[in-house]
Amino acid sequence: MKRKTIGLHTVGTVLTYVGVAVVLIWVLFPVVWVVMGSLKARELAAAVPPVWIFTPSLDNYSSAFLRRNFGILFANSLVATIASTAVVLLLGSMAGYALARFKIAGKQNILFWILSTRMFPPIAAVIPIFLLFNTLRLIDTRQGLVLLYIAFNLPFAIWIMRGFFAETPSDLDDAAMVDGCSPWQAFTKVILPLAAPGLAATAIFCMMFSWNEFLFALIISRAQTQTLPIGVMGFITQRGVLWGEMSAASTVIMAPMIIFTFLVQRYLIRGLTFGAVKG
Amino acid sequence: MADSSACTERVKDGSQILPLQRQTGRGIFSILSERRYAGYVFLAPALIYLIAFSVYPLLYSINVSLRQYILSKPYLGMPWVGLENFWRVLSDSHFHYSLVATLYFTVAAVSIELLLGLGIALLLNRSILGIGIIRTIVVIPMMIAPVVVGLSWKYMLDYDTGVLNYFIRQLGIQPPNWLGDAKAVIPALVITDVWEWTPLFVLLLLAGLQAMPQEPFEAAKVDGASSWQTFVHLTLPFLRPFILIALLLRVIDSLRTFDIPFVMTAGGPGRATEFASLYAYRQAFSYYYVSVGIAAAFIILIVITILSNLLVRALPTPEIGE
Repeated sequence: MKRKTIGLHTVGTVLTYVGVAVVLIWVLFPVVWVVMGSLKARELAAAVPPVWIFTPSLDNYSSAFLRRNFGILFANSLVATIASTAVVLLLGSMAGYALARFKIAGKQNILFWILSTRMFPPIAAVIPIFLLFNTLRLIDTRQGLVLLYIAFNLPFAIWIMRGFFAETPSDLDDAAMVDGCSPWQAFTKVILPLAAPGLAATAIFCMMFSWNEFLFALIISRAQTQTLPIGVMGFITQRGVLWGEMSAASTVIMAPMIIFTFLVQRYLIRGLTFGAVKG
Repeated sequence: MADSSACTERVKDGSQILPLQRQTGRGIFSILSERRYAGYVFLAPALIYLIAFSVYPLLYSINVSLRQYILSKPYLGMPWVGLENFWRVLSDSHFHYSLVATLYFTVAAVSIELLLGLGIALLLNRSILGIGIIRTIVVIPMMIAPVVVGLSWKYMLDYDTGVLNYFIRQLGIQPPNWLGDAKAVIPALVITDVWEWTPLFVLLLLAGLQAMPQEPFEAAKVDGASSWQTFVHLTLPFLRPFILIALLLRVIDSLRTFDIPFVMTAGGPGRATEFASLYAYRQAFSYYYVSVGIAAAFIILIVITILSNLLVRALPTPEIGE
């Protein structure tokens, strides 16, 4: 009797490990396959049967970055990502603080309205914004992209920072203000340092959204201001797809995001649900 | 408490901060030192920015949707046409197809993601070696740019050279032409979407499983409930809110899906994967019928709003505010 339960238990454990292995293969195979493709010589990237063992080379990377100007695209992506995130953190944490701490008329409505701007389908927003930017001569400028990404990430930053501020005890800033700090000083000197981990996580999520963004960049940017996700489409040519170079560019786009995943793992649930679920 | 001492100490030695306070009382930032208004001042910049970027485009697009505006023929001006653009979209059989295709894609992808996500969450809700790092690895797909996800799967699903069809041929089965055959293409996009977004369900349902109290389960065990009964009568009801939040996020997102079909199929073959967002995009930027594109976008918005409201009804009231 006892032996049987132990046997069942062992079978269960083995099945768990087998299941986990299957899940990990399913999750990682496409990533590994693309990274492998990026390191293959041009004629091997789409060879039949697929090549599993080969001498890695960086030719696809040098081809993408030297011959196809991916360096400029990389710079465009970096500028759009970092500049928009900086502004979003400032405006978003201020608004989040206001909505977490102060009496504001119609607070609930404001919060829901902010959320609804993000739930708006991007395709519905992008056509009028294209026409507006056309008039303002913001098409094909980095500024235009930054302005758009600020608007895109602000609702997220407000909601998520509001959640982080709501968790810092309010007696601290109350005490600071009683002691003579202005609300601004209480915010910058007392509350913001306490919410620093939340601020860092918010920054990473905003960088991720901007770095990966496609539709706005597709419509707003032209040759001069293309971002990486737009540029990678260029490897789909009339005469077929340049799989090797496409894989190299894809690897460059996804590598920082995979690192970010590990950095924000504690905040993933919050970040991906707009703070609706606190993990 | 050490952090709060910055202003506090200066207050205690008296000399500096009090005169400073009075000074700022006349400055531009004076309003920041008034607690009554401070909330509004903190909120204003973000709110103004959002209003500029959402209310203006909204009003502008309502206006344009009621006029004829053809981007390639600016000399025609913008004559008022009333609701004609909306009738045109609503009576276009291509639009009907795009709505049906979008719904088919959404229902198929989201229901598979839910079932797989639930299974994987239950699997990962155990303490096995390296479980922390495994849970993080499982999340990776949804952090990758949809464009890259789409291209990676295009690479793997290629009819002649794709690695997936190589495996299928090894099994002695004739593989489908995933992205070239109108019947196989939506399943191919569903597979891609499932790969990218099942992790969201895993993440949320794992959070739910870990927040579950232990006592009811112990009681059920004492009462001799089978593990299936425990799952149906205890685990699932407890997970309900988590399932609904994940469903809500995913349904809204897949109804407006754009990036993956755009890079994998560009709406093809033929118009087989011209989903609703792609339809609106093409009207505006391929055919230059901007006002028709906007009208289509409004109809998509209405469909999404109705469907997400139906889902929200099923949600427990979200905790919001103090």
